[in-house]
Amino acid sequence: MAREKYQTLTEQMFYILLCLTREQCGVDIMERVREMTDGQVVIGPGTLYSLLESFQQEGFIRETKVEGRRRSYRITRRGRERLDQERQRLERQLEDYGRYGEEA
Amino acid sequence: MREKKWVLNIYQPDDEAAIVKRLEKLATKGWFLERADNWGWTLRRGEPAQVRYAVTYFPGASVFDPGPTEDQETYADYCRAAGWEFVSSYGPVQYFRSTRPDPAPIETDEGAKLEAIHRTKTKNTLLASGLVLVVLAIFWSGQLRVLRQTPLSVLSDNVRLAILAVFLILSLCAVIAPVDYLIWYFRSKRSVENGGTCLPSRTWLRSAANILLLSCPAALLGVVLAAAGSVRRIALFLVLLALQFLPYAALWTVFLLLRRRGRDRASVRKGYIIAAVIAWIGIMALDIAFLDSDILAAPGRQPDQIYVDSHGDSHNLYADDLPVTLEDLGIEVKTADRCSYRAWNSTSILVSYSTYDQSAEGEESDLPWLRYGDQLVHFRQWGWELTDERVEILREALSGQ
Repeated sequence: MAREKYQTLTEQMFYILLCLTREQCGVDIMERVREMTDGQVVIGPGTLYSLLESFQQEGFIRETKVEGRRRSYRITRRGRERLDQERQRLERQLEDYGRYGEEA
Repeated sequence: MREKKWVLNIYQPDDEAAIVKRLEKLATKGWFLERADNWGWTLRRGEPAQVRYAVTYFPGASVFDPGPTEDQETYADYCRAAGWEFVSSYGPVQYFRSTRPDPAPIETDEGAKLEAIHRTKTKNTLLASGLVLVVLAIFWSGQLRVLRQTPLSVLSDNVRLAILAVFLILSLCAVIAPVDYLIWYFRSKRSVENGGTCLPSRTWLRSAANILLLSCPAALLGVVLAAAGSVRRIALFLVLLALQFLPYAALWTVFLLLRRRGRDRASVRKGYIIAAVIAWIGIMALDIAFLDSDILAAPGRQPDQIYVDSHGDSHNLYADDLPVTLEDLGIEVKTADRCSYRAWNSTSILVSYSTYDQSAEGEESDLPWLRYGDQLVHFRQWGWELTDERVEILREALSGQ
């Protein structure tokens, strides 16, 4: 079934928004996400650039600082709400697994 | 030993797997990408090495930019942080190189990658395809007009048929390109939405179009040269073929001039589009004029006699045997000394037909002009009537041919 844009977040989208709950320079996000996930989630630079642009257009993040070409971002209230929706969705999935997955 | 060389880039920009494979193979032989342009790559010599290449789309970049934009530089900064060095770009197509054995891919989200490709294609390729289709539509409307008015003159000439066939192939390829891309895009979109990846960009439709583009013009050129029949016709056809590349040369010149003057993207694009429209309309008008005229027609044969009238004008006279003459139709011909009886045959791979012509040359002739062929064509002037009886005589004579 086709998914609306950002109806569910991919792993990369999720961790970028999570990373930006604190102000972060764009170029440092890749390394930060790798640290947060012990290398399990890798964000490519092209993907990072595209998602930062898209998140800005959607109003999930905002630019906080520009120093030359180094731009910093932080999540907005709308972005936090979206992140929280995703957290609730993942928790529901875990509960369903706990309820039905253990029976097998 | 030369330090640089230029190689032709035979790949479509979104055929990234094939491009990367070729560049990495060249690197193992000591040739490294230095600069990309519209037609190929400039390579520089170095120590053979195992390096990784990546080709990506950056929608914000355009061939009309005088230099890298700030956004492009930011994009390159992100890639550098991930171990990818920017090598070159042509428009939205960006080339990166990494010396790390296993660098993280530049694109790790298929949805974002597909979106970047689609934004670029919509802005650049589809727009250009639309423009080409409009120009081809103008060309074909002119050709259909000629075909409607004088179908036999076109269908009986191998050279004209070959030119039309080449344009038909070009038109098919111009339609196939955007259709093929849209099919790939919607199928890839469905795949990505279901958790998969973008599909390979090389489809059977595109491969068929590439084969057509590469092989048919060469084969047709051979047919035309064999059928041309004279050095003059061959030369004229080759001139017409060479003129087709004029728009590209003109556009490239305008484009380089505008970029060298440091104009902004909007100015360069505006100048390029204006030059493109003028160049393409000009070449289409030239093609239509060529095909409408007799320039490519086979040269006439030598007359049997030349008649010079009282004004000193020369007229060619022929003395061929015609199935039916004006005399057979009961019309008295008093000026037989300046009456021309001419028969000729036009043959192509599609059609073969004969035409017969009788007319009185020079001034003050009161004879009608009779021209007929496998279908009755002309009989006119000066009060002579094409009666049913005369039509019947013509029909009987022609049915015996």
